[in-house]
Amino acid sequence: MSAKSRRSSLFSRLIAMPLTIWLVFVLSSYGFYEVFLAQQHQAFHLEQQRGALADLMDKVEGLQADSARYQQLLAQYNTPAVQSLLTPVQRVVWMDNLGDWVKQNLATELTLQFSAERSLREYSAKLDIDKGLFYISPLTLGVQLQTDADFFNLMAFINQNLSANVWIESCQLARMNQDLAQPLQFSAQTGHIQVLCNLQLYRGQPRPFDAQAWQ
Amino acid sequence: MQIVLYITGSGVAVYRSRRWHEQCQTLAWEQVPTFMQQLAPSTRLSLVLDLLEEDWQADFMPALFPWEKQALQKRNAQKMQQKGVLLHHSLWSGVKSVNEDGRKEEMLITASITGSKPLKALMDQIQTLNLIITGIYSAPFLLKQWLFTQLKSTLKWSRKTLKQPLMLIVRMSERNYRQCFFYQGQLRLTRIIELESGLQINDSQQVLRFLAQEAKLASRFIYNQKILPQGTAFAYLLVDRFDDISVAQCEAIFADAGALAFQNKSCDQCFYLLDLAHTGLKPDRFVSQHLVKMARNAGFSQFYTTPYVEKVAHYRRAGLLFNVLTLLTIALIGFFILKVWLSTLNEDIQSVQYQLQQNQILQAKLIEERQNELLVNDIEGLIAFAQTAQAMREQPSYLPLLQGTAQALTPFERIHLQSLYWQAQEPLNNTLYTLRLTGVIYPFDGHYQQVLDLMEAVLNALRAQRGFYQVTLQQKPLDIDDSQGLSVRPLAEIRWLPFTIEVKYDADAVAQAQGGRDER
Repeated sequence: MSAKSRRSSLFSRLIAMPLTIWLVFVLSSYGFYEVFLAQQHQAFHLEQQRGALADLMDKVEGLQADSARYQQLLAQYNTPAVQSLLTPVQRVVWMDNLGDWVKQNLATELTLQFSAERSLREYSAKLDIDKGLFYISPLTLGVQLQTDADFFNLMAFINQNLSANVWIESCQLARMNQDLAQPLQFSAQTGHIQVLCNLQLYRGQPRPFDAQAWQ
Repeated sequence: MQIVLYITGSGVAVYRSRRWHEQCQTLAWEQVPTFMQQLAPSTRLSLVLDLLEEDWQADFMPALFPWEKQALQKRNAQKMQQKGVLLHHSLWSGVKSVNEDGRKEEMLITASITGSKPLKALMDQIQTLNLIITGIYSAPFLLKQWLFTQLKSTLKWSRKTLKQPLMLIVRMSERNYRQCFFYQGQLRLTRIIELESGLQINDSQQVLRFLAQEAKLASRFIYNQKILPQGTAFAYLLVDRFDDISVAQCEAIFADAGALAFQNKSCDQCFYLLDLAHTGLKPDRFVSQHLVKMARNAGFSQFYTTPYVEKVAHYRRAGLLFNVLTLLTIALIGFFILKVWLSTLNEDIQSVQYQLQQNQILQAKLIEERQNELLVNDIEGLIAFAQTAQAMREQPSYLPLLQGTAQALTPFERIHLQSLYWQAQEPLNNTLYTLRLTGVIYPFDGHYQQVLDLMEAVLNALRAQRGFYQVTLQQKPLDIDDSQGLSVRPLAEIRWLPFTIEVKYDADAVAQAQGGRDER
């Protein structure tokens, strides 16, 4: 009997007040926690938004710089030297013009072998070229020339009349007459120098601005 | 430190609360002024009055509305002061009745203390010393609270039981008892009983007979004063320390003494005994110690008040209020700071969102503008390539290669080139070439040493050319390596000796050499 009454008394004297303080503390802490949590959430949200804004501003600045650079390059892009790069290989022109040159220079045995155009995948470290921008058409040129000087004329002719964008990958100049004991004889039917060159004709194809790829 | 002064007619018992125990010091009235002067100013005092001079009076007053009661109590207080009452407290009992005139009345119980000079001197000294007095409590009133809380639950009594008439006899100290008569749940009569000097306190029978005699006197007074209708039975509750006595024995002693003789109706149980040990008191403690504890834990509740006590109570409440206000202010400031922080964050978020929108609009506009245009990187690549192609056209890369070869071989009449082959070492790089020279030494006069010397001179001449490096003889006119076999045709048949030379060419080395020379 007395134990119960003691318990009640002890509760009111020892537990009631601390319990009330604890409840008030817990409730106020919960209130603070809620506000603090909301603040944390907002701070995190703000950080995310700032990050997104920084990304977006980078993109916008990049776009502006890109646009300005484009306008800056436009004049150079429209020069004949660059525009000639956009012209596809004209095989007929090559054949006809080379045929005329051969006749004019008493060269013989003109052979041309065009390979299919392909995308340029390998390139020199000397040129910073994006993959997919250039296409090459390999061309094997064979001809018999009267003199070795004709080779230089031929190359100059190709550059000036056929394509400015020719790359000589390899070339062989060989003497036709291997017998040194026999003196050279001029003949319009046969040449004295056999030329066999592997050329590469380049063509550029710029790609349009891709908004999706940019983003 | 909190001190409770338990005040009786003989003196003052001072109870100091230490951490886990209580110290008691008994003072005669003569010692009290000195003791009070020695108290620290921060000491908090509580008084428990257990005095003969305390009077409890019950009067039926006209029933009033709650807002009218205050005024009546004030008038009563003024009357009491005029009569020279030192302390008084009145409370509305809630017991209502109708008088002979048919008017509704309510019982007003008034406790008062009159004529206690030592107490008055003590009160004056407390006020003079400006001591902090937290409350003045009445021992009978604390006993009533004790009965209605702890004893009620210990005895498992209902509220209805407590409404019945009851005589409580409590052992307050070693030689003092107090009789309290309760009726209709109210304390109606109380008095102190001091054991006679010749009485042995260890003789329970003797003490009980004395208490029974006193109870008989009290019951006679109750009936004579018509506090209780004549012959109405009431119960006894004796709270004391008992070793070897039963309820029946007690009841028999009270009956023998004639304490129950005035009751013409027998009650179901007229006598209750409660050992102090069952109330949680330690063996050497009495009820007065428990009342001291109750007074200490009373908090802001008061019983008797004086203007000074009320003033101190107001100060204490104000102090507590300021503490609470300080805590609330701190909490509110913290909360406000967090809120401000939060609102600042929200403003920042809105600002960032606005900037995001603006930039999104700008981005969309720029994308739309760029939609039909070409990739800048591609244009840059085309321009760079066009410039390179132009440079190659103006200065064909094979020219210095062929010129160097011609320059190296011209002095050697017996060297006749059969073919000349050059190949770029990597695509689109017009600076690195591999050159292969195939030719013969003609005429051959049959002396190999001269041929070998000639070949060595040719190789050196090629090595001397700018940009030529790794000049190697691939096919030798005569293989002098004795680890390999060698078959030689008849000398008469050999007209010329073939050879092949391979040369590596680096145009950049030439450019660097020219640059260095220009600098010099």
